[in-house]
Amino acid sequence: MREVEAGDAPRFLDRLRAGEATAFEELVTTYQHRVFGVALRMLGNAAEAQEVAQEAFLRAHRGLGDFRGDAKLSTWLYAITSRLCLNRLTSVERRLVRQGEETLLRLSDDHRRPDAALERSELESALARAIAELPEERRIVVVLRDIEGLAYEEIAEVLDLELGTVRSRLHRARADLKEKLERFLP
Amino acid sequence: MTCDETRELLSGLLDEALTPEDRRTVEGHLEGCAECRRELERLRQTVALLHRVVPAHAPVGFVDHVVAAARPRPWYRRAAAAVFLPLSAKLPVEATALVMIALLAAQLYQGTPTLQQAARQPEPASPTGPSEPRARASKELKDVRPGQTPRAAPLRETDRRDLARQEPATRPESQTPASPQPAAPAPAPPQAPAPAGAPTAPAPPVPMVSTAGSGVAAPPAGSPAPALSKAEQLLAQGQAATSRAETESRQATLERAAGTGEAPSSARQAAKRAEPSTDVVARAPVKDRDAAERDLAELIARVGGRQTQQRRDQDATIVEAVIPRERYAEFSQALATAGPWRVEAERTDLSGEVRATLRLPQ
Repeated sequence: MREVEAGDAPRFLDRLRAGEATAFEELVTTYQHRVFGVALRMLGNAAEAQEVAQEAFLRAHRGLGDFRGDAKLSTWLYAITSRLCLNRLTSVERRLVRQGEETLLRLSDDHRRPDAALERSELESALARAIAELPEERRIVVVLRDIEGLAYEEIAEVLDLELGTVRSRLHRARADLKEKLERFLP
Repeated sequence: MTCDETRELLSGLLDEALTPEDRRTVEGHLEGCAECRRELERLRQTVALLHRVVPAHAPVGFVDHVVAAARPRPWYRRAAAAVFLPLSAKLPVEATALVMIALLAAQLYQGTPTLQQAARQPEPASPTGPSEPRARASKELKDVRPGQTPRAAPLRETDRRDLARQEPATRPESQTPASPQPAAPAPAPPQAPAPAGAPTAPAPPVPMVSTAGSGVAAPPAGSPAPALSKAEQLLAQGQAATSRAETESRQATLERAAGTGEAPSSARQAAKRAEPSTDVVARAPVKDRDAAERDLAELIARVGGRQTQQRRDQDATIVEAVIPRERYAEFSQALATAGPWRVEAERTDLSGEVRATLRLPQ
């Protein structure tokens, strides 16, 4: 399901640091869906998500010289993206409250499988709404964990949080979602 | 471990993220607590729902956009962006442009009347259009305070009289309309002498030639004066007949000097024919107009002058002639010996050629 973490190969990092254009293109190609996905779930708006995702890659491009390689490239990109999203949310939170639900519903449609999309539309709408209604500090944790599949330690690194804080926020986010999605549980 | 403490760790238990010690403690609690086991199951089902969220896909062309945006821009685009793109630079520039446009508009708005006023300044020395003096006279009247000598007394006098004709005689000067009087397309027909109560600008005493039979002396400055005296003042003040206003002044002079017995229209026409200027106005009642015209023509020719115009009205003949200044005394004496000539107005500073308007009423 996830792209192979080939981007963390030492030779690839060297190519990136050397400013090789094809290396940066490979980086964007490898991580575009993950970065865009986090931005979309956090912001609830495709246009804003695309803007933030592009800005995240451009910042990474400018900061490649400073990337020491201590963390994985994906963790580094998630950190940049999460920070950009949280910063933007502080300024457009009210607008997102109004627009997020509608946009998330639209973007959750699976155009490649319209029949399946019809079957799952109600559940996905509820999921999207429930995620969008979470407080942003819990939302980013549950997105990184349950949608993007990051480990606790990786989330703590991305968000620069204590492991206990990640665990606590994740538990509260899941508890909120359980209440909101009660009717879909067997 | 209580139920609340246990439930705090249920997410970690699901994700196998607990320490072995916490894991044993939680599992021990769950064996004896059906409610917490049920809570764990609900949480597991919720996480399973979250895993069903369709992964998002970046838009088509996203990679190309990012790669293109990451390419270094040419230096001139970077320079242009540095100047124009940041709001911190754009906003002040745009605000400054707006302010400058507003200031320019205000300056143009205020400068227009100034330009109009400046266009009037050289008027006394240059010919002007026919409709300007009235508007200028009205404006300048506002600037003249009681007892203050106007800057151009003769013109003010003429314009003031014209203004007095157009306005009610009882209208005080302070009620002069603030806006300039609309320019009349044609001179108003001559009327009776200006009303006694009409505002009169003070004029300096003017040396006048003692004219035979006229017996008219210059009135004290500032006092109401007959129209003839005003006309003589205007002639004696040596104002060159260059402007329309002065032309009208002379027209008024000629109208009054020619007497009030004729129709206003003929007097006006006679005045018009006296243009561009007249230095002497004289008249002599005659019994035979034809003979008088012939004699006058001979006299003019004898003194080296030339007759510029002659017109016969129903009851008078008006002759306009130019007499050399050095022969003017001879011409004047010959007129006096020929008949009852009366010089009604005569300039004191005759020089060069003397332009005379001679009226021969029958």
